[in-house]
Amino acid sequence: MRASNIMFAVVLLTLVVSLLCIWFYPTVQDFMANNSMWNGLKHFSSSTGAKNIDALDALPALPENTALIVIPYLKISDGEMAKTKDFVENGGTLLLMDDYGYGNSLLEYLGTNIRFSTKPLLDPLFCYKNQRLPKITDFTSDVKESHVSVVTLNHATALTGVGQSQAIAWSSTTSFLDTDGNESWDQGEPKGPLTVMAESHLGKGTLVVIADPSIIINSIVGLDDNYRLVEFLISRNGEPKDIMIDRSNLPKDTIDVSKLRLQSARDAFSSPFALIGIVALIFLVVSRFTFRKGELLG
Amino acid sequence: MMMLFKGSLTGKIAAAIVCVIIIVIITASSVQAFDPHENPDVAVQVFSGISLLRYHSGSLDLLLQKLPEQMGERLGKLPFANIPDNLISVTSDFGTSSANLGHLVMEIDGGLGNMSVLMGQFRLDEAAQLAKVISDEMSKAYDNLGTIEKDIQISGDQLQVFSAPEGSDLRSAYNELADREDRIRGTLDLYMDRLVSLLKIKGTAIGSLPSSTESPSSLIANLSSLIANLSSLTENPFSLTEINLQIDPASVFVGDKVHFDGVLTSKGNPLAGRKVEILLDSSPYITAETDVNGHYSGVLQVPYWYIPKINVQALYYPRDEDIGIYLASQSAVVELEVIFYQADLTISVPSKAYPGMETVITGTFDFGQSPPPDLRKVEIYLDNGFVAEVQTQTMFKQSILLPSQISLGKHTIAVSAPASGRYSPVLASTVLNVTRAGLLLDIEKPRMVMIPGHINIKGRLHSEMGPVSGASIRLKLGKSRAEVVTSDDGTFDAKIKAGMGFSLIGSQDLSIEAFSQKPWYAPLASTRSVTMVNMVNCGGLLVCLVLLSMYLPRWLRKKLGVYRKKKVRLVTPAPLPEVLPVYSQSTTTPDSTEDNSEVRGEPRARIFYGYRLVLKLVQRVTMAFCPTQQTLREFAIEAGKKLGPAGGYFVELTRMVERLLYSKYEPTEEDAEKGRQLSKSIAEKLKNEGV
Repeated sequence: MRASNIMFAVVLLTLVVSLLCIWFYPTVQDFMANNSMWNGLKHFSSSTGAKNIDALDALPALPENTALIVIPYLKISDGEMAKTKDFVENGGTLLLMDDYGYGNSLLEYLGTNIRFSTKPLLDPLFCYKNQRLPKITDFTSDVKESHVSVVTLNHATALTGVGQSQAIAWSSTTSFLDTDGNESWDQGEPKGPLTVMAESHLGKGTLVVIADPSIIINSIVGLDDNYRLVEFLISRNGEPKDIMIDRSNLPKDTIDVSKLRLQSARDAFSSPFALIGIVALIFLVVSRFTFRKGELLG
Repeated sequence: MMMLFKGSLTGKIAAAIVCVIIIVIITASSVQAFDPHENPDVAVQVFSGISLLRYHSGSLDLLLQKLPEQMGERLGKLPFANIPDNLISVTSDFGTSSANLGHLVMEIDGGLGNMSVLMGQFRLDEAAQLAKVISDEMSKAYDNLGTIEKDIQISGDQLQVFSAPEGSDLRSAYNELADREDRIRGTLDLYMDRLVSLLKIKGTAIGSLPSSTESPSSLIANLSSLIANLSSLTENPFSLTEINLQIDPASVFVGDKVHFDGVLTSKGNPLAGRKVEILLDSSPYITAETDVNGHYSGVLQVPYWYIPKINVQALYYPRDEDIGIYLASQSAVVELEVIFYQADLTISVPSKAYPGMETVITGTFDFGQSPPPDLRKVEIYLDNGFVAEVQTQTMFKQSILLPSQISLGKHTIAVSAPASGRYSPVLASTVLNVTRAGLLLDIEKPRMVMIPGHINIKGRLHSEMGPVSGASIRLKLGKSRAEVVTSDDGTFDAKIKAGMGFSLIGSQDLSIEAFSQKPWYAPLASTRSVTMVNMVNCGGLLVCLVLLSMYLPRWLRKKLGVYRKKKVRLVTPAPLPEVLPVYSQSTTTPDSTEDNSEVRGEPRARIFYGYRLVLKLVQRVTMAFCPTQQTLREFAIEAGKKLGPAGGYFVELTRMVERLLYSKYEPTEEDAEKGRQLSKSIAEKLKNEGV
């Protein structure tokens, strides 16, 4: 065997091993459905049977029984915003979870006055361990009736522009918005109670705005009544809904991008054209190999 | 895999493409790094004593503002606070004591108000009883305040407030809380002063007033002696009064009139010209005045209170010149039985109601033994919103239009018939289940569809309410789409193109979506399976197979043959080998016309040609074929045993061929001649043996 062939074999083997590592190595990126670490959504995804989508084209034409969770940590394109708006107006339930991302551009596009303040909500007294993990205990009566009494947030923000009838949950009186980032209350900084969840009806559908996407991560979703609250918000009338989590607007680590590309490549190779091409290529190579052997044998 | 790519340009190109794809996949760049949360399991535990102390201060503020409900709600959230373990018990005590104190303050405040009224009316007996109650409440209030004070002290110690510098936030928060506690103490002291001053009766010494500098316990003790003195005052120096009351009739319809009368006396003497209050359930209702005989009388109209019994009392209390002379008196309670008509209202609604559609509410009054009214107003409410009004006697049926945007689920229908004269109000409610009618689709589709072509789909759309007209039906088959609208009877007839694809025969999903503009219909999404036969692909495949069956064997024979056509070079014409003789009728002479070009070729080709002919002959004679796992030599040795004398020649010829096959030896003309001779010898030997 020639040296070039050995080199080629080593490179090829390395690449194949790399692919296998990418495929099987667990991701640790925030909000990834296959991330079973503290910051992933694996528990929530598996317990709710949520489907992860990488493009909003996958939204159903009849979305009445579908709840879409969007965590807009990347800029949302106009096309995506239009699709999201269509989804809500046609009867879908949109759970927009954000704190410091691009949620406001989507809210503006949807034509509602609700906005994310994008400043940290801190609560030095009603919190889990420290003030960056505030606990929410004030809810509307219908939320309380669904046996939700306390919810823990994680590096949340607050909502502004919320109408009286739109608010669902408020922070405590000891909470405040840390607008200057010094982690303590200063004169002029908004004090609690501050709205952290709101609901608005758009067209035939419902928009639920939550000022913290971390409420559903693995390490938080099981605390207090977090899961029950999200479940309640998704199916307000008690009707079970298909849940979709939009991954297209989430930042991705190298391994996640690689995983997605690998998955896309697998999907692409599963298409009829690619399959025909692969079969033809294999046929060509094997035939050539066979003929060469035949020639050698005479 | 290496073997596949080895030495092959096509293979290497393919491998390079695969590698590039893999590298692109592996070397994806990171998009963004963000930290929107922290791991709560490893989060640092941080308590805020300042927040806790200020929260307590806020709670006590609500107490001072006499808002005990809000204070209780606020304190009820303390279990969710992030508090150090050593402060949990203290905080709990603080919450309980504060909540109790809040309620006691309200009770004391209200009690002092009533006490003031009673003392003003010289109702000293009642005042003495109330003073005792207030005194007990004051005692409890001071106890609770003591607990709060102690809790504040412990909290300060645990939070190391006293080691914090003066003017620090922690010190300020503690001082603010201590200040609230002082203010509450001041409030309680003020209540004590008010109570003491109320017990002081104008123009009478009832004992020395306690000093506010005394401790709460000694204040309470002194208060008890004051109350005892007040009770003794009811006999001396004031004159007792007596009052009685009769009503007639004792049982009346609501709204009817009742005659009352009675006599007011003091030590057996009538009191003339005194005002007497008639109390209904302890509230003043009407005033009468005594005549010279101390007699008072009047008529009162029974208020439209639809309750079966009203307590009636007459009250006299000294006013103007009577103050300081007479004491107040109350008559015994006289029960007035109130009669009114009651009705049971039963309402019924359909099991399902639909958005945008009318729903009928039916109600029936059951008056029992009572006479039904001529007409009665009935108001209908949907989720507390007024929607309709109807006049009825015993039964009504009213349609209400549900809003198109009404949320699905359970809603409350309340029907209220306000009170009317002798008829008491009636209220009944029921649950209205708002839902949407599910669409049902009957569809006729062909079992099998040919591609290319169209699919005719007929169907009928209906629901539990009948056929659905004007609804849109969207059909999707692969990339083909079609949309139709249902007719008046709910039927539709659609045609959708069966698009080309790569499949041959198989099933494909036909997606159907049906939705109506009418808000009471729920949209429908359904999928049916259609068997598709792709005639184009099937035909193409058939043609390919036929062509392959025709040309593939010849092509393979050429490619896998012993000689490579391109390597055959006719250098010198070679003599044609002799045609092998026919040895028997059962064996077939090798066909000399197969490929005579090889006979005339190079020595190597001629030896191989001769060997092939002999090999075929040997195989026919021995009925043995050379297996793939056996070498030519092994086969020659095995077959040679059956050939007799020809066996040796065959083995020799085989060795010659193997030498040519597996070495770089170039055969000469002599070798070719020797091969020919060996072939000929084998044939002759076999002939001699009668084969």
